[in-house]
Amino acid sequence: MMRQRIAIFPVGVILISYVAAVLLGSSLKSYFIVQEQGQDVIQKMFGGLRALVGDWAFIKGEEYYHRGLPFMKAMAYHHGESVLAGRMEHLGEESGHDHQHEDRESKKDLFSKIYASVKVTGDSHLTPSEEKEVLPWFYVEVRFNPHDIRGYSIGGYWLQEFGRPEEALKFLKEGERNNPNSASIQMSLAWYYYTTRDFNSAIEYLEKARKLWLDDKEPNHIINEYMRSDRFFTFILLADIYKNIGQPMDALDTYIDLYYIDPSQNVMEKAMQLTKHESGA
Amino acid sequence: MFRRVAVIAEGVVKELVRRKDFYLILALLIIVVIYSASFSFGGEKGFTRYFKEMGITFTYLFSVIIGVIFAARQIPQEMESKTIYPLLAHPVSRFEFILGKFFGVFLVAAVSFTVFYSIFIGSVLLRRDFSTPWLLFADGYLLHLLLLSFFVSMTILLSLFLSTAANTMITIIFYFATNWFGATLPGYIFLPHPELFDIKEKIVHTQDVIPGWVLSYLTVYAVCYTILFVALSDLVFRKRDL
Amino acid sequence: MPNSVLKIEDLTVSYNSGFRKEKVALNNVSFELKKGDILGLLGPNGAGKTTLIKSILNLIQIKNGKVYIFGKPSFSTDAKRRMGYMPEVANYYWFLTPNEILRMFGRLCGIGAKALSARIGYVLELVGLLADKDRAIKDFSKGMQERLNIAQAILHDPELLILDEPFSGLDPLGRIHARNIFKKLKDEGKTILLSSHELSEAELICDWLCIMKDGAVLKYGPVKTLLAEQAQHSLERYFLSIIGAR
Repeated sequence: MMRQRIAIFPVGVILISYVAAVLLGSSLKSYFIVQEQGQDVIQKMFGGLRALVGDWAFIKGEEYYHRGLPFMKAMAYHHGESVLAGRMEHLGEESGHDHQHEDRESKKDLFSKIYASVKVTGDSHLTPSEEKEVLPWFYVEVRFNPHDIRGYSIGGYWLQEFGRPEEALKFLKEGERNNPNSASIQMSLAWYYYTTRDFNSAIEYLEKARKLWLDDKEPNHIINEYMRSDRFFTFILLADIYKNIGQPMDALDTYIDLYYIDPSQNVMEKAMQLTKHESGA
Repeated sequence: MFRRVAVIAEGVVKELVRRKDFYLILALLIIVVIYSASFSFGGEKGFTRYFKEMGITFTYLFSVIIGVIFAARQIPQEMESKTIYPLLAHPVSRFEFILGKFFGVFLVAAVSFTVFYSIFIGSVLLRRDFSTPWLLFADGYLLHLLLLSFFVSMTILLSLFLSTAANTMITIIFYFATNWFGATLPGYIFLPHPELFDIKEKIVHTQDVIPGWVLSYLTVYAVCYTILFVALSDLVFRKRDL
Repeated sequence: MPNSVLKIEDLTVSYNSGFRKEKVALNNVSFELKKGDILGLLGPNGAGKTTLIKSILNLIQIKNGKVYIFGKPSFSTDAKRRMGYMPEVANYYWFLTPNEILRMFGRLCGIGAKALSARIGYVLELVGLLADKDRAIKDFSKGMQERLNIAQAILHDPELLILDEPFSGLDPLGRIHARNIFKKLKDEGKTILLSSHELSEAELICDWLCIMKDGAVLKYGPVKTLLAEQAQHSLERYFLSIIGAR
């Protein structure tokens, strides 16, 4: 009787696990195969946790960029603007980004004074020689969550800024493997090729990114300012390259596409300049 | 009274020395420090802030964990294993028992923290990073000791109501939650603020020492909360049938 | 009360046993132990023996009644200093050795270092644990733990000893050894309160009996007198007749 009970128990456990897995909608076949697409039951269970750790690593990176100031959404916006500004300046465009931040109004109560003494409350950035300190956090971010596009995109940018283009390419290629449909990563790769003067490859990646932005499918829905900046820069960079290689109509199409998906971006002036130039020519 | 309190505290310290927990955590910390020191990202090495952050985060965290685990199991373990009966049958009052346990666990946590902190500072100096002033390190040491006294006394109080596992979990969650959200919780002014004792960011990112008046205020703050928790523990334990 | 070692007056203890329900564990218990008396506390399971002992030791809050030890309230440290307790379950810190445990308890009782060392040596030899004094308690057998139990109870040479099931866990040799120790203490004029299910052992050692059932004292008095009352020759028969009669 006891042996029968012992035999029934593991069989029962296996049966219940099978039913549970089926109900969770997972393919049991995928349990045994290492795959990049789709998620098995275990990934579904822990996926959220990995994303959380990835987000935490991003927050730490932001904190480091601001010399220890705890993360605020506004800061992410400023950092995103800084990255965009860096790229725009490279293109010879005005960034419109003010690197100075408004000082937060300091409260006068005792708690706030003590808090200000024991925590970092003043907003400032790392100096250029210190900027590499943010890098570990982007690596941590993508190690924990290979689908964290922001980590690859910003990490790749900083690697290039620190004069490590080969590492940047390696990093971004890894990001592309893990996120083949990410417009941001395609844009970042395009930026790499642009800075190394390989305009053909840059155009190839930018066209891919443009299509992905226009399709507006996951993971390219605009959910934060980083993505908005990346989308904006994709079209601006593509149009700039087309202008420089003597394809103004393609540049105009690009500006028009940008205007249609984001009318808030003031690109019509650039488009008008282009048409004036063409008609003048 | 002090002799009896010291005798009970000594028992707690002996437990630390003879259990393997402390050595395991010490080994873990050393592994973390060595591993952090060897990191290279994108072909770059020498990330001083990252290394300091890893070192001090784990130093703080492990010492809190040791303090909380030890505090959470003192009284429940004594009652469960009935070792409390011969102890309280001797001429020691319940208040002396609570006080002895508090001091013993605090000493355990403080010694652990001192060892961990020394390893952390030693490793920072070995990397030839002399950017952090000694005074700031001293501030970090003092404030974290005060934090340990806060958490140890709070955990001992909670151990009179909760199981060891629940107590440990709740206290650790409280530690993280106050660190992340402390000043943003509704009605925050009425809650204790252990996050004020955590100056990790200062040590990692700045060279600003903590003003003397702030240290004095925080010392009084921590001592008041510690006395409150110990007094409440005595009040509850005094009326408890064993 | 110059000769009074332990005096219990109208002690009543009750516990919550459900919604608005109380179980009375001790019901108006009163008796007095004089110097040199050896009292056997007997009763079936649930009689209230352990509750009574816990009340004397102040491990339970006394709401009704009074307990005096050497004329002082039981919760006073003076009273505790003159009293030794041997719990039913011999549990001590597993990470300590007998030497360390006894040193710890000795220091709690205020014994000086030199005197304490001598005293530790004496009690360990008495209970037969001298050779194992530096061995960790976690390696001890049940019998060895019980002997340590006796050692810690008599370490500070208390005048009153409270022994809760002192013979449980002991083999026949161990029992003889323990009995001899208690007889020796009796000869030294110690007052002993002994709670036991071992009626044969109690009969050999005790002068007085207190038989309890359901929290109340059924019989209290000298052993010989009580046995003679019922014309019983053995304590076991007497005990059964008292318990069975109620």
